[in-house]
Amino acid sequence: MSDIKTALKIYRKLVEKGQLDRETEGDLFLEFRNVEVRSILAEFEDELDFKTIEVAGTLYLLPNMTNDVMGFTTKDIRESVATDARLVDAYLLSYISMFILFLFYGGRNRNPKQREFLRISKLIEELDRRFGMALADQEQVKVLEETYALNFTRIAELWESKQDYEERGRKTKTGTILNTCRLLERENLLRLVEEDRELRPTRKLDDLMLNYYLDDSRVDEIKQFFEGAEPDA
Amino acid sequence: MVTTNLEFLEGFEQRMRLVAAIDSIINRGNRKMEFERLFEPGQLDNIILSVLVFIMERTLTEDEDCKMESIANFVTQIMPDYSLDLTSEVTRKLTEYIIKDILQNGGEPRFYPIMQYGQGMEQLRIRLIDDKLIDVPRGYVLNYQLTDQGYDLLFRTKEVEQEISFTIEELKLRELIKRKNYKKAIGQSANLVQMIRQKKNDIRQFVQKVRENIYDVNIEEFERLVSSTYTLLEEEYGMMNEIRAMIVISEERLKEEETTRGALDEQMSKARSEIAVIRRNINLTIGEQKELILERLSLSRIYKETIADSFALSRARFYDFEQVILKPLERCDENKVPGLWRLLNPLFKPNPDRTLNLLTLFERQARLKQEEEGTKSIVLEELGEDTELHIITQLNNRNLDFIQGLLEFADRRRESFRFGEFFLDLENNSSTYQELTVDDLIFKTMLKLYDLQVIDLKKWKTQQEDVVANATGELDVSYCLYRLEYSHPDLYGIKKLEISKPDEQLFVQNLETQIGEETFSRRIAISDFRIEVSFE
Repeated sequence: MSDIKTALKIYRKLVEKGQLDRETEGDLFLEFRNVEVRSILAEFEDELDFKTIEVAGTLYLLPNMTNDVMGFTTKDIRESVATDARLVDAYLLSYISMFILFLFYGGRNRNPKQREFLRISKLIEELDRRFGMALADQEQVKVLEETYALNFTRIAELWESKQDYEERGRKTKTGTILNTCRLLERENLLRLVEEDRELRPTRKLDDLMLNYYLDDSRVDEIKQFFEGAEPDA
Repeated sequence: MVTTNLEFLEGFEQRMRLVAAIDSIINRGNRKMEFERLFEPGQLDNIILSVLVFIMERTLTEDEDCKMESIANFVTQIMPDYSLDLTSEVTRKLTEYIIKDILQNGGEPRFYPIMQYGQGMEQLRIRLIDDKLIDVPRGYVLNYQLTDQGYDLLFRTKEVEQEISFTIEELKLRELIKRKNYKKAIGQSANLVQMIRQKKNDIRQFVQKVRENIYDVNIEEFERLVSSTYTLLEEEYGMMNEIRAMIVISEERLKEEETTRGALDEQMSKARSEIAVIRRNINLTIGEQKELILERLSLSRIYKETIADSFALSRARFYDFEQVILKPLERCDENKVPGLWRLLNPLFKPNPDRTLNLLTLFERQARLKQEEEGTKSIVLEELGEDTELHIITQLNNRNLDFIQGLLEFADRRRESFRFGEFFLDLENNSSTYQELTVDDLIFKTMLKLYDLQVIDLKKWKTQQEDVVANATGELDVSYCLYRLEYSHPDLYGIKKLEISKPDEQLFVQNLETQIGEETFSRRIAISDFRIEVSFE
């Protein structure tokens, strides 16, 4: 098979599943180490705005932050909340997703991974605390309110307005968290276990967080996202 | 006189490791008083240690999975010894408290400072049990087992000397068989099985540890494990076969005796059955040893690969997640909000179908519109649907409400019922009632269900494939069930609904509609279908 064909075959598998495992696709996986194939794939990466990383026998395709061809859109995120979800719901979902990642991988020492599992009740407690802090900081609330109509205070209020965690309806805290977790579960990043009362990161999430997402070299890109010009949604 | 020679403190950390393990039980964190106050002082410590012994027994001696249920059953079993009579729900919660909050420290690592003289203080991570996620149909279950530290604690608290080697255990067994002390030899052979299984568990846990977090693993640990396994295999394998040969000889002697005497006396018969148990244990040990040989090889491969990967990882520097992402997210410019998905983009699977799928060319085009709902003063992104698309969404939602209402009612009734009964019950929920009666949707949908005759939820659960959003607004039961499954994963425990028309009985209803100041009335007559419901 020509190198270009092999590269396309690898690319196709990666696009289909997001990853290529040596255990199930041994031959193709080894072809990735072929210099020619690798350089063709590198060109795909440049032109199609993605990255491939290899971690412990698995090859992953990661759309770059700015990739809206392969990646998600706000609409996708909103629809994962509900068909009638508002932008404020999408903000909350994004925040909860990031907060979950923070609780798992927010360690400041050599190993950023902080825990093996996270109970939903603990996550609610931590979110309550975080949102509570945001609402208590009157000065910050004032600054945010004066600057932006849609701001973190609104998100905190939306969270506070949700009923407590016994009920599982969409408009409760548990329901909102489960909605977020199910999105992450569909992406094979988390597993909901113990009758939806506990979260566990998948191997994929460990791999991606520790080998790419948390890498210091990404700081500029993230900073640019928050500080730079408004991106197209 | 000042003593300068501190040799007596060599290996001091070994002693402290035991203290650290015990501390994690006695000075447990995450205390929940609702459980603690159920017990007299010290009682819960006893129970926690008993749970650890149970996990060891279950995973080593019986070689069975150890799930939360089996641990809870064990706790129930020992409660009377503490003069406590707890409900099964409380026992289950107590077991969870022991496992998750105490022994697993709520998922967070627990450390204990240990002095290594000459090297300084070291933070020792305490983990007495470990768990393994197992995929089962429709979910995951957790299987618990002891870690090295857990075994170490239990062996030491039972005063089994740490130095006891496999060889000594074997020698004991050989001597016991020589002396025809088969009863003791049974226990001894069971010990061998336990030891070899423990070694196997060591390897599995090590592999898991390597895969999960290479930072928790050091080269000494790897070398110790590999060399100890290697020694165990090389030196002991022959001896095990030797013991098996002795057993065979013992059996032959008994056979000869039986032939000579015509029958075996009670004592001899007992010896024969004891020898059979020993032989089974020996065979088990040899079988496990073979498995161990294979696992040792894969252990080396995995370790080497992960080490290679970790070289790159050890050079990596990680940013502070809170400072770089979380805090900016909390002060985020509202213009950035529509683009927040970009933060998740690198973690999500590629989603090319949405943009590269040719079928999307034929999808209904939507006009953007301003949304107006909920919290005031929030500027919402202009994104929406044209009227027709909006109507389709509404229809889908109403159909979902109908199916949900029907299943809910069936769940409450727990027996077959008529459509009329369901309809009258629905009147109590005015918003759903309004939704479903406008355009007579409820009646049309009911006729469609009658057309289908059966909604087999059990079959649907086993056969469901990817469900696409219903683009027509027509009743699509599969789509409704798919959405319903999010809020009610068990679909109310219903197995099947069968819709039939057993007789000509009609359900007649007058419906009123208010348009402006005028009230319009219409009369609906529909067969009073019977809905049979069966549960799982």
